Amino acid sequence: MIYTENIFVCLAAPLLIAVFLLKGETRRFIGFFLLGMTACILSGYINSFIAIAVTDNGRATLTVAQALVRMTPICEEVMKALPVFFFLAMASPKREDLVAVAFAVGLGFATFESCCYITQYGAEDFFFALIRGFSAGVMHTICAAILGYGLALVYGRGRLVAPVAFALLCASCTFHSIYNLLSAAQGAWRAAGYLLPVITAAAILLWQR
Amino acid sequence: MNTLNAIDWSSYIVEAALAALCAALCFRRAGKRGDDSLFFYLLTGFYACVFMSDAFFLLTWLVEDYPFVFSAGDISWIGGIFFLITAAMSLTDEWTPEQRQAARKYRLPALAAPAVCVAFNIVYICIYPEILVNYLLYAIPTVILSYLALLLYLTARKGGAHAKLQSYHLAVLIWIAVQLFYDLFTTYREYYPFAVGTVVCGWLLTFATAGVYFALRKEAAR
Repeated sequence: MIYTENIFVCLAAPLLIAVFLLKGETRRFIGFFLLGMTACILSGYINSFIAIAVTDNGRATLTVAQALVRMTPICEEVMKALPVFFFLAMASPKREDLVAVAFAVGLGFATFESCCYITQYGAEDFFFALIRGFSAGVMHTICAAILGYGLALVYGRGRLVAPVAFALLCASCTFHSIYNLLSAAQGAWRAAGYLLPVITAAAILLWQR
Repeated sequence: MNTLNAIDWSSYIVEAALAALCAALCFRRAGKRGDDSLFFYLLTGFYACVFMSDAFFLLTWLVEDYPFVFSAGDISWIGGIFFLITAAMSLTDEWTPEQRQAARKYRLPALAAPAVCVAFNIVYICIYPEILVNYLLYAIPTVILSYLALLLYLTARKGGAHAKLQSYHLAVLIWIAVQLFYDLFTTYREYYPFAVGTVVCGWLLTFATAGVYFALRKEAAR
């Protein structure tokens, strides 16, 4: 067991001070990075509840491992999308701001999750940390990027935004589920799962160029 | 795994491959076009969702051999339907006030498509009332898409807005119809005639999915 709240307070405190001290785009980036971390801790609570609800109620249809593959991505992606939707609804952002905000939320989520993971399983093994950073860390950022780029595409097109936002959320949930499914398997499947986010990131990089 | 299952599963593999190909083609088209690239980006999203849905089902089967319950694969499929809805909405957004006025008279006939979808879904819900939410998640977007597709098809057929996209709207309607029959057959797939129907509809769905892009080829070549 780890005390995620303590880790959160420790990491969030300097960022919170920075939000008040800084201005402009940097403030927004750090603010949404912090919201990404908050989304991570909240989705941790909700995931724990869902895992109990679907596996321990006497008429369980899923094991804990299956629940992790099927339920966790939905909860985590919805929690990550909420700050982006809030920004879209409350501000009048430019397209590139929308992408930057989605990235900030994804990075915050990935950073906090990796911190908790390293605290729980130890940081002695460099290879483990490297794999963790380039797989789950990149995966969370990619899922947020899918949302950011997609929303930027339809931004300003009125009634098209809501259905596209939902469709993008579905797409990112599935991408996350595929990663979870592969990384929970053994052998070559696990290796494929670890490589999936990096390959997708490389494809996005190529597209941008 | 029996032979029938192997044929059924091979349709998933072909569908995933065709969806990946169509996603790449749509993405390429979108990159080449100027102001109307959004439609092709939305179709890219549709095919990406279909690809991920099939990939998830296949990987679930290969890696873990799970029983089929509502999962991320279904969510991705629903996401794909939403991309098609948005693509249809993006077309109606481009209508001029005159075209909008002309399309009004097709609103009532276009309700025939959702009526058929609702009838099919009532049958599913009567058979499996315990998975009502799953069917509603599938049915509601399908009903909306069927209405928009038929409205756009009727408008295009009578020489109204987007007349060149007539075959595309027809392909979307065929895709919806095949999907409805596929769902109906899978409900009783334990029984021989329905099992064959499932396989046939599975393959038809595979080609109907790719057909949505290939029905656009004249418009895409523009």
